[in-house]
Amino acid sequence: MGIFVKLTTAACVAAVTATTALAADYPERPVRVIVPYGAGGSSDIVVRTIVNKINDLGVLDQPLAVVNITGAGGPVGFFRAKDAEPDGYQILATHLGLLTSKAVGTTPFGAEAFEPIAQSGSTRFVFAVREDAPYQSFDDFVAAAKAKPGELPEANSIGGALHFASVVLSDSAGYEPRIVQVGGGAERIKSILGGTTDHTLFTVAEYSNFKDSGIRALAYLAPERSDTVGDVPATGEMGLGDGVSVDTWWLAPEGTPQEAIDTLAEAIRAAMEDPELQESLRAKGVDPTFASGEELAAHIAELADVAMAAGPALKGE
Amino acid sequence: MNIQTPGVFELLGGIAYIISPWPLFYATLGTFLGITVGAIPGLTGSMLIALTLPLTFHMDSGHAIVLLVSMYMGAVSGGLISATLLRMPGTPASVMTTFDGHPMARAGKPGRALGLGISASFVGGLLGWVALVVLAPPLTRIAVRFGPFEYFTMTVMALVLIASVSGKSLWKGILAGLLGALVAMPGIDPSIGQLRLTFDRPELVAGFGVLPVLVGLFAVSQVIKDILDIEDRGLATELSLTGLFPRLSDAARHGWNAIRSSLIGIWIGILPGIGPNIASVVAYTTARNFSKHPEAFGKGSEEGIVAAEASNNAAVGGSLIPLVTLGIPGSVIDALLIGALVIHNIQPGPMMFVSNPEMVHAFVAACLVSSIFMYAMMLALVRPLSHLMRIPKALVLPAVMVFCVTGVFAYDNSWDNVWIMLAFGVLGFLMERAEIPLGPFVIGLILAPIAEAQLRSGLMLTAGDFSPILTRPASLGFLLVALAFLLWPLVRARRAKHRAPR
Repeated sequence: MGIFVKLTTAACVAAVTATTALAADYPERPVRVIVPYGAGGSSDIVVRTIVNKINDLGVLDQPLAVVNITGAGGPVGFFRAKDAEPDGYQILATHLGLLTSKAVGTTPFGAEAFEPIAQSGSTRFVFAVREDAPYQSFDDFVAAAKAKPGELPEANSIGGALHFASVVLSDSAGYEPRIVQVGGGAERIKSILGGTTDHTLFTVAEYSNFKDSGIRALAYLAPERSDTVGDVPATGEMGLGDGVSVDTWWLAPEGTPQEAIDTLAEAIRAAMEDPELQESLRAKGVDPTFASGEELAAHIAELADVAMAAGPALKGE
Repeated sequence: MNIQTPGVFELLGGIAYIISPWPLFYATLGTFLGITVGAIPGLTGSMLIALTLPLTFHMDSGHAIVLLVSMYMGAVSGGLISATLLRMPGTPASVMTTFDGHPMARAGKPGRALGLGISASFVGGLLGWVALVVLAPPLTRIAVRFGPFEYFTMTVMALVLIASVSGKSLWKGILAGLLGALVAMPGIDPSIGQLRLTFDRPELVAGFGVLPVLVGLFAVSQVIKDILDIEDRGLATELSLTGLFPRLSDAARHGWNAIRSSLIGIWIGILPGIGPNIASVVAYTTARNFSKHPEAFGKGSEEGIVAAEASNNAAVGGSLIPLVTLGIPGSVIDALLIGALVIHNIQPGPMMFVSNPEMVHAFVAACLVSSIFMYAMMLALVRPLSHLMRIPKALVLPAVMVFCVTGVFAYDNSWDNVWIMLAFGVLGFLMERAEIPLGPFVIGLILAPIAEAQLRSGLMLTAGDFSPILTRPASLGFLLVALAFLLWPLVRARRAKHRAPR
């Protein structure tokens, strides 16, 4: 018993010392990656694929471990990650849902409550209608929508990244859809196929799943066409803007030591340079982009401004 | 709409797939884990599958599907054991089984109660499988046509059904249902993404989760009740496990009920977003309303057990139908299965028949084989498990509490949910004292968000016009059925009164 107490005390002392001397030895224990979305969903799968690669490559001395803290479509995980000890052992993996949740007032904070670590991979949206819809092109659709402002029902997932992309698109093309809350990808395809709604947006991954189920893509919300999506015109070439890109962001609670952030960013970079990982991300409809440091901070801040400006529209005002 | 769907023979190819060592091993493992997790209050099939998902990353994709589908089937079935023996539904799908299974077990016939439940599960599972093979394409096409108003009226129908069956008083049933609906309100408004009724507490942002509330209401409240009479050393009477195997006469007596309940389960399973939980409510109510002995429901009715268990297992096969044919998940677990497919770079939906026919075979085979394994394993496990009822409560209760707390904590790694669970344990205890039934409360909690989301989606679609509720035929039909179920007991009571004096 006595020796046990001594050992425990020694371990505690060691732990305290280790925290202060973090710089050299980080990480000394597994790092929890909080994913604020459900296990098995598309955001979760992308993060897990990257985490597996980092662990396989062994670039960190300790493994990363994914923890799904779900609820309310993200905010519960946002709160938990923000309030976590900023010691580099709890980080958040999310996307621009963090910005829209502040824009609509679900969380009182956005990306400014975190230190950006890295961006790993981006995905975009595809505008789609039913296969037997009267519109042959996005122009046809815009003309029809302008003729009946506020009447063509759009299957949406209100308040999130998809809604944000939809607001940006309809703004630049100058039409006004009737936004209908329908929900996730499966609900939206059902709504389109059943003729309940007229059009919707799909993520590239959703579109790859559903493209043979009786839908037609009219536009790819990006600067230029992509091999994954195929022969679908990009909004950039139609002069309708670059669309919204949904990037996977790795963030640390404010006050996390810079050494920890740099170490993690380096690990993510190493994984993202792996050709096998790039291939597997592309297969999931994710473009294997990477960014960190100042560049990433500026990108997030810019998007945060756009999201805040779209706040009233996202709230349906 | 152009949905290409496969023929029956292509789907039957699955049987050949599974007759090899590894798929059989994974089917056995999955079914066993599913039953175990299903039988433990607080641990659910979706939790097991979510936790298993990362482990399947490096598995053969066909094996992964067999493992996960078997877990699904096992978990839906395993819940009936704890529902019957301890009155604690192991999964939400077995809430209805507590109504009759437990009274029957208390009356000294746990073997008969479990035997009926297990056999009904088996029949439901098999019929669900047949539907998956034969009816998949046409049924899916109809289900896709359902819009928000149909979903709304259908959930309203289910809410009315449950309130009308569960307790002595219809009004107390409705009160409980509305309280459940109220508990579903705080958190994110599902239609516009805004917070409501959270009183600025971050813990309430996600609202009250179904799992913590359910475990609190049923398991924790039962623990509180049992602590109050801790001296009771389980059942004094000798437990009779005779009747575990169904008799031939049961086929005649319960056959039609089992088939009808299975058909209800299959249909509800096909509809996206709702699965075994709602299937068991609707089938149970239907059985009671068609029964010659409706007064026995809730006191140990054999028909009640059969209806609840046949329908929830049939819903498993039913919910796989839109997943396999369209790539649309029929329930939460199906959404996880889609996640598993995507991890293996397989696109669920009609193209799966062309690009990965062996995956479709794996689905179909796993659904059949896990039903059969479930039947064999449950019969084998019943004898050891039934001893649970005879262990002194002082030993059982702490173990149950440990499972409740760990299960609820593991759900999303949060202590908030553990406190919510304990609070609802106290509430459940008080409600039972006041004879307010728990069933409608839980169903209100589960159905109200669906009804609300669908109605508001419909109103966004029509810019605020309610009339489609009455003008769309299917929608009107559901409302009329709800009305009929509500009035039928009154009509029958009057008839009985008229007859009695003579």
